[in-house]
Amino acid sequence: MKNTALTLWIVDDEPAMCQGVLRVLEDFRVVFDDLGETVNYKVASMESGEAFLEKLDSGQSPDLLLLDGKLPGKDGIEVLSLMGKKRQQIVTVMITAYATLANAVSATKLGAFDFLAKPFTPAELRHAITRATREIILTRRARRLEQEKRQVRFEFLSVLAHELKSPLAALEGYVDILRMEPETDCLDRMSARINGMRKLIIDLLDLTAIESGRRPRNLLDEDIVAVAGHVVTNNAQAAKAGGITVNVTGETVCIMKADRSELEMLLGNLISNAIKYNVNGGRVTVNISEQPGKVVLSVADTGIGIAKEDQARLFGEFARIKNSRTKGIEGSGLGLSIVSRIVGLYGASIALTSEADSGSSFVITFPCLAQDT
Amino acid sequence: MEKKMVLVVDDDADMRKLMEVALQATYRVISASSGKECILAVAKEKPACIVMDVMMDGITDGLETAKLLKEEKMTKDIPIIMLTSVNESYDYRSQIDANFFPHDTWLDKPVKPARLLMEVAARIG
Repeated sequence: MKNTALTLWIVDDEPAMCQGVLRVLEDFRVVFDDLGETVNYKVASMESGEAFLEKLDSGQSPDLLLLDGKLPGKDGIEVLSLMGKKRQQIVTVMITAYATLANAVSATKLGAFDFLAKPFTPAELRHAITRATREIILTRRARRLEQEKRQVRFEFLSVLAHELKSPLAALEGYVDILRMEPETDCLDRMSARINGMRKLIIDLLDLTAIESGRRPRNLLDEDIVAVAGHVVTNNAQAAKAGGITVNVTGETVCIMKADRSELEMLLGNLISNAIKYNVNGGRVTVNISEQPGKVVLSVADTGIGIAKEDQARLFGEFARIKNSRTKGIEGSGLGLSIVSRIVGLYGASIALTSEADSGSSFVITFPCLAQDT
Repeated sequence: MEKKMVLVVDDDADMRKLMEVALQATYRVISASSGKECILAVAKEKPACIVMDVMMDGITDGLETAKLLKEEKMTKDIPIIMLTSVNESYDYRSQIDANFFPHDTWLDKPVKPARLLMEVAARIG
């Protein structure tokens, strides 16, 4: 439970009113179970609109304001309007002696959040304060979320820029060396960097297409076993280079409602990872099984595995585990974030079982939608 | 006279190779591929100069490592040249107190071999 203290100011020329509010609120706690937050109040009072505005000018401001409509000098409505002119956004509850619609309407137009009609009971006061408090807490959270979203996007773009510029910097460096010493052996490295960059761009396009939801999806009856076979064939050369055996086991046919290119992306990333991060002469086993209400896909390898402490961040964008075992293995760092997005599109779940040096197994469980027939 | 040692830190294997080639005629070059490896290498042998990529393992790995080195008595006098991909969206320079880390220690990637050699020589001869 998070404890939050909000400052509440009451502007009212009747001392009895101020005292009353203070008494009701001093031990008052509002508990928001759903938000995990408990709020308490630090209350201060002012006798006039002028006194309040002076305090505002000095740079102080409350989180919540209880403002009497009828004040000597500037009345509540005037104070509200002046606050608006200064662009002071304070959640305000107007206290009105005459609960007329006109007053409520003018106050609301000027930005008041709620109003309390005099005479009001302690319960009514607490109710109004609770509503206003919820407004404040929710607005703060929305703002924090926006800020976090912006920060995440910002970091993504920064890392992306770095990932795109690095291969170009390397290529430029090699070109410089070749100009000076044309015999230098660096063409293989240059090829590798070019391929890496192309893969990064392709993965990036896939990822953003899925994220933006702008890719049109063709959900048809697809045989996931056939798609797996197709992907394995595409990866045959890479597998052969490492002496890796890749097998598709389980059902011989398994039809599910899916977009073929999404299945290809999903299986493509999982299978190419299983081959890439494997040991020489190792194995990759793709298994598809149809169970009541679900289709279970697993891709297991006898490769270098993933340590427990690295597993949490594995599906993040550009997450690359850099250690002695992964040294020399190229990748965009986007494959698994693409996998996790596609898993999300199907309302499926993905589970990873792995330990350093003992291989990895990724298990995806697709919920089956009822057959149309 | 024995060659001074320069520690080159970058997570990109090709960049490490290229910097080694640029500097190896004049200096003895040791390389590291992350902030962590950099600290280990410095503990093993104190370099005369460090050339370090700002972004390695995580968005500010290089920066944080440089700060650590500047705070340690044993290592704070080692000149550090920071390499950055000119990137307006993440302004590293605003993250640092100018006195702590003077502006002229930044080089924008890609760095021409001759320029890198010149910058290192300007700091350690």
